[in-house]
Amino acid sequence: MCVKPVPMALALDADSGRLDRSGGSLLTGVDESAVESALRVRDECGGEVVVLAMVPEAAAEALRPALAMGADRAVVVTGAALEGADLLVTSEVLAAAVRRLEADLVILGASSGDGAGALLWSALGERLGLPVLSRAVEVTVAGGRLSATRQTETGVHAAETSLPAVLALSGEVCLPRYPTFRDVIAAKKKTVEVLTPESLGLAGADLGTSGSRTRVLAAAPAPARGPAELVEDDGHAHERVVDFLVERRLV
Amino acid sequence: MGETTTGPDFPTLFSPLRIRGVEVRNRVVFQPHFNALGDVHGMPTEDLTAYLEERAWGGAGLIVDGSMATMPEGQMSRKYLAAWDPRAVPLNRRTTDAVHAHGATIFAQLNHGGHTSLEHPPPVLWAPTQMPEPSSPHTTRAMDRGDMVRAIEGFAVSTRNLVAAGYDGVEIKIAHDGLLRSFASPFFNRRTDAYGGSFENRMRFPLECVAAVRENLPEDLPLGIRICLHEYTPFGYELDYGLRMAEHLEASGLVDYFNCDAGSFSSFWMEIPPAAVAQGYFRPLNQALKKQSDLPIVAFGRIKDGGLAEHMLATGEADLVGMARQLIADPETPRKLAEGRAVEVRACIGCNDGCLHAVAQEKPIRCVQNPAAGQELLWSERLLVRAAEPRTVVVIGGGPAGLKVAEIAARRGHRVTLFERSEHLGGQLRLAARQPHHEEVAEVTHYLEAAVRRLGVELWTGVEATADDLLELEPDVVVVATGSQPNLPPEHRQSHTDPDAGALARARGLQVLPEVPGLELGCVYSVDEVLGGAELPGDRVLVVDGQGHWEAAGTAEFLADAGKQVTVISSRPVVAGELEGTNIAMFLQRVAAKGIALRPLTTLLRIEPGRARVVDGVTGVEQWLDVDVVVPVHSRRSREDLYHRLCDLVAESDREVRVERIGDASAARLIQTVLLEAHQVAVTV
Amino acid sequence: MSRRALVVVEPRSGRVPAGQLGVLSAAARVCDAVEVLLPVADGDPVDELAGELARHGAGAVRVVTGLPATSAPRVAVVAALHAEEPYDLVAFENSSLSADVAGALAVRLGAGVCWDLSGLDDVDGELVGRRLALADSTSVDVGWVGGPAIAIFRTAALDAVQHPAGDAPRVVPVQVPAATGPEVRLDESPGGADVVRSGLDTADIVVAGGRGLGSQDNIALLEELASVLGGVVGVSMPVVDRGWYPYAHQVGQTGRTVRPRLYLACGISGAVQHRVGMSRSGTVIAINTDPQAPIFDLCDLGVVGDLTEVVPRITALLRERS
Ligand SMILES: Cc1cc2nc3c(=O)[nH]c(=O)nc-3n(C[C@H](O)[C@H](O)[C@H](O)COP(=O)(O)OP(=O)(O)OC[C@H]3O[C@@H](n4cnc5c(N)ncnc54)[C@H](O)[C@@H]3O)c2cc1C
Ligand SMILES: Cc1cc2nc3c(=O)[nH]c(=O)nc-3n(C[C@H](O)[C@H](O)[C@H](O)COP(=O)(O)OP(=O)(O)OC[C@H]3O[C@@H](n4cnc5c(N)ncnc54)[C@H](O)[C@@H]3O)c2cc1C
Ligand SMILES: Cc1cc2nc3c(=O)[nH]c(=O)nc-3n(C[C@H](O)[C@H](O)[C@H](O)COP(=O)(O)O)c2cc1C
Ligand code: SF4
Repeated sequence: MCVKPVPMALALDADSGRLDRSGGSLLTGVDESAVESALRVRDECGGEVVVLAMVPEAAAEALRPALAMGADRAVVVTGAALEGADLLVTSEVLAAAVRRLEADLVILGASSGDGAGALLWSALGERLGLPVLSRAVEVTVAGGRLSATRQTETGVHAAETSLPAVLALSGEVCLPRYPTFRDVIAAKKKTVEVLTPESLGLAGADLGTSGSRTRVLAAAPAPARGPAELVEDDGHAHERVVDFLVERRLV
Repeated sequence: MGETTTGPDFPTLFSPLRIRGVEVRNRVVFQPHFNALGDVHGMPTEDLTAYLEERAWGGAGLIVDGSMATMPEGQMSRKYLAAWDPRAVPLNRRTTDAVHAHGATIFAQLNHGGHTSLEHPPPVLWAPTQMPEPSSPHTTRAMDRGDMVRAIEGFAVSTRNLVAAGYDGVEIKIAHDGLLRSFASPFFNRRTDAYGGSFENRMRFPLECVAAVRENLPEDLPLGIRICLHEYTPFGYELDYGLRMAEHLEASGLVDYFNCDAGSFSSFWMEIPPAAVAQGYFRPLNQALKKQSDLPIVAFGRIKDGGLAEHMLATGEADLVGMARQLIADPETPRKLAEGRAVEVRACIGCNDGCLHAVAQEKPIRCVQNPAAGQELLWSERLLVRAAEPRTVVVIGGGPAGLKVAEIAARRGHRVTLFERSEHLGGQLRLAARQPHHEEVAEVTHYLEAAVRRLGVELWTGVEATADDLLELEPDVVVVATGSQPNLPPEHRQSHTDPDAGALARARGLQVLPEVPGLELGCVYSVDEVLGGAELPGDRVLVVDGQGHWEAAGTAEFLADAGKQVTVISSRPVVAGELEGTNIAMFLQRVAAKGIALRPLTTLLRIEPGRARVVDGVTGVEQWLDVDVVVPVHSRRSREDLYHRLCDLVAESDREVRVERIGDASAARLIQTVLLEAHQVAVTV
Repeated sequence: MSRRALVVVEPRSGRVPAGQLGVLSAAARVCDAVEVLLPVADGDPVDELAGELARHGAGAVRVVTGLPATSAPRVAVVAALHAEEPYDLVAFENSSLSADVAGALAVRLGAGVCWDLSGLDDVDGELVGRRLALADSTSVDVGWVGGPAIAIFRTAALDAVQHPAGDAPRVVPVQVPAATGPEVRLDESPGGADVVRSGLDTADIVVAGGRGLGSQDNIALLEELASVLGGVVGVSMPVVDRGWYPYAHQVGQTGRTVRPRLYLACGISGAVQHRVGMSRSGTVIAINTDPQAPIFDLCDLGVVGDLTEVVPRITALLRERS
């Protein structure tokens, strides 16, 4: 039974837990579709959409487009101690914030379908003890249950689980709505709430780089791609291409 | 921490190179070009000094000043610098000092204009044999031995002046124009004396001039030749002959480097190739010369990308890379590349509208991409000062005008918010770039878009601003850059997608609709609709060119490429007559190939479904043309209602808000004017 | 010090994919005892699979039958095995499922995860992962603090290395643990809703075209080849600007970043803004009329030729051979 769901969009840059590192002040397209999905759930089932991000305070403005689109609140978790946070730290901080906000549905956008993004949502689900429904390309919330169409290497499949849950989107799920000029003006008047690790009751010592379980040892220029094989098309280049695909086991 | 991307590296581009006794700090050469920044007596102005100084500051390794004329008879325009005149020495010294202060090297290019004429040519043109340049109305005087002696003396005197003025080397032009190439050319030189007939004889006079320069240059200063390797005319010489000239010059032992060049005044679109000529088109010429020569080679021609430049140097196809227009468009190109800021480079778009078009009319050089070009003393970006008090600036419209104002205001430290109602930034240039051979025009807004994002301008795309709520944003300054729309009657279908934004202005008598009957009909398509991808009924299209620039010409070509049968009419004597010379020349070549019919001196009177009534401007004879679609291109109307409404609201309120209207929103014009206007407004905020 | 590893594999249609055998080989090179967690379905040839795993370095194969393709039960199984006797390394080949498992496992075990690895070495007794970053221009060495080290390898990044037949592997059955919380239920029947999307993000093969297509009509050439290869069409910005193809398919700085196993660039010059979106692709093949096109600097195979001729011929030949 649907008990007042409070959907919440976590508009995160899935690669780092940081939002839009490019420095621009727009959400990335992917994060916008996370916001849009959350808004649709709210429009159907009621509740409140909160956008949450762990970003440096200066980047808090990046959440404003989500407010203009119609999110009810925007919250950032910020603090110098969070610099260099890895997966374990990021998931811990975000989990604390999600608990504080009492969300029923946590939605993450995906800026890339693999790597750190995938790790974050599953780590967050584990911390919260919630089921994780990842790689969703279509979402429905009804009757206290979350159903989605997932797209993975193995194809397109339906999946469902109970709420509360963590939902991770895959790429462009839905076209984000454009705010009106009035919406923008209203959004510019709202404040972005700021949480700190301390206000969430997290000990400073274990955060940031100090709490990380991985480290970068060295970086060096990578060997360039091997010298390319160049063929002139004399009417037979396609044969070389197909042979090459076979050699590389690509067909 | 997020990983940051560092710019690509350009190790070869930024390695020094020794040419004879002179070390050049890197491989970027600001190519010589007539810039009409001399006064009408050929004296360099302060603008010229500032122009070259800006490029030295921007990081160029070698700057080649000029061209300069060696004697009055060789001065193809009044503003062509007078190297022979001792009064120029202290003025040139000012330039060389300014350039040296930034660590760059400066050579001067010497030329005798010969048979070549610009806007104000000398009273008589000199040539080896009496004959006009085929593309020119002026014939020539065949030189006698006395003339030759004077001409050689001109090179000698000029060289001494240049040395006195502090130049580090001299480049002699045997390139796309001037006397020396016409001597070398089998077409222009038909003499039977010691200076014509055989290849060696044709090269004799150019070599005598080269020798005179060498004799007057100190031992350690280099002498280079700008050499035309391929004339690209039906009557002229080709690469094999150009290479033979180079070989002969090199064998003389007088030459220290070659600067490649191509084209001639009868194929001037290959001298200063517009965007329709592919980037790097001339690389095979550079490569061929590099292969045969032991001297340093400067590559030339539509090189604007740092990666390409590095690649050319690294693979040994040249020793230096020439950039004329890229450094006009962005003087800071080398500095940005060196500092890992390659993404910040503002590309030349190959339009020739600002640079060549101006100087061909003897007007001081300008640039579409760079409002400061030729007027650095007024508008250089180095003059931008941080605003004492950051203001809240709201910009409405994300076309070139709005983006430019946002860029400059943000660079000055203001808080800028920009609203664009469509999903994409770029304004009309998104449409313009869909026209054939016009893609590079989009780089104007690509640059600006990247810049405003980098500068942290708050961008709202897909959001249409209205005057009514705007003051709630509490702006200090509102810049209205809402652009323009095709001037069709409000009943026309266009209003579905681009609602009429001139009703208020018309009610106040500030705007009028065009008076041709039938413009509201369904068979009338605006340029915006056509380039926006509208499906047109039928095959026969009439384009009405009331504008003369790309808007009509490029649309006609776009339609022809889509398989339509296109006729273009214009009331003026030339269709597309406002296009810059190289562009119109190449446009006309393509028109022929694409079967587009041009009808100048023809005016549209009325449109009915399936036909259009036109009148011949000379005979007054009227005629129906059977056409399925009419695309009228006359002056666009400003989207100015928002501006007027906002001004009213500000007046009614007790707020102090400065409201500015820039770009097409104040009057439809071309990019160059619009960007300068935007820059000027942003500087005063 | 003896080092224990667990490699989690996912057989597909009764076989362990070569890339996963590559991960196993890499683990075997740096560990003394390597176990494999092998989920199987009824009817999978368990002995055959175990034999193959043994040839690639597995000492023990933990077989679990009837495990749903969701992460939670896998996390539980691995955590339980780890509790019995700790592992120093838990390794996966990247996939939707393994990423979901690894993230949760990291939290459960308090372990560090390094992802997108393309190599693993022992340096002075420490495990060091190799990762390519910044558009593959930089090679980064990464390490773990404390144990176990969780490693996710780039797909198909490692070669499977066969060992001379060693001992027969120990095959040990593992129980599917009982669910402890709310579960995700999967409908694994093939098909499902067809959603409007580009599919670029997850595509294994991208057939991309640029301005060199010359006209919108030629997009069809890409689509045909993509359908034969089982790939998705990608495009450069000018193609989108011209309205030839939807923005959702744009690759590059202002479009999407893709990392397929094969990227076929047709009529794309290779501008840096495009490259940042595709340079991490596995294999790159470029077709371009201009032998100097920068794209040739970062491809594995370059064809100097007209795409309108070469592409249809590739499509036809592939059709003929399949
Ligand atoms: C086909 C074509 C080819 C051209 N070729 C050339 C050329 O080769 N060289 C040249 O110099 N010039 C060329 N021009 C002209 C050039 O495009 C214009 O000079 C230039 O675009 C004007 O810039 P602008 O920013 O003032 O206006 P625009 O480019 O019209 O931009 C105005 C922007 O404001 C937005 N806007 C309008 N109202 C609102 C609102 N209420 N809220 C938010 N946003 C709003 C519009 O969506 C638009 O993006 C060409 C024009 C066309 C149509
Ligand atoms: C801020 C900014 C953001 C940008 N973002 C992106 C982005 O996200 N994605 C993107 O792609 N670009 C982006 N660009 C644009 C980028 O700089 C290039 O302009 C663009 O990638 C070039 O696309 P292209 O390779 O298709 O076209 P071109 O560079 O014109 O190359 C076309 C190629 O096709 C070849 N060719 C022509 N005919 C044929 C034929 N018949 N057969 C085979 N080859 C042929 C030509 O030799 C040429 O190499 C961005 C630019 C800026 C400034
Ligand atoms: C306005 C203008 C004037 C030029 N005048 C000269 C000149 O006087 N002497 C010369 O050798 N080249 C001249 N050039 C040619 C340039 O040196 C250069 O070869 C040409 O612009 C192509 O290079 P680019 O693509 O780097 O601009 C001129 C170019 C321009 C744009
Ligand atoms: S005016 Fe046009 S062609 Fe000339 S330098 Fe500027 S951008 Fe380049």
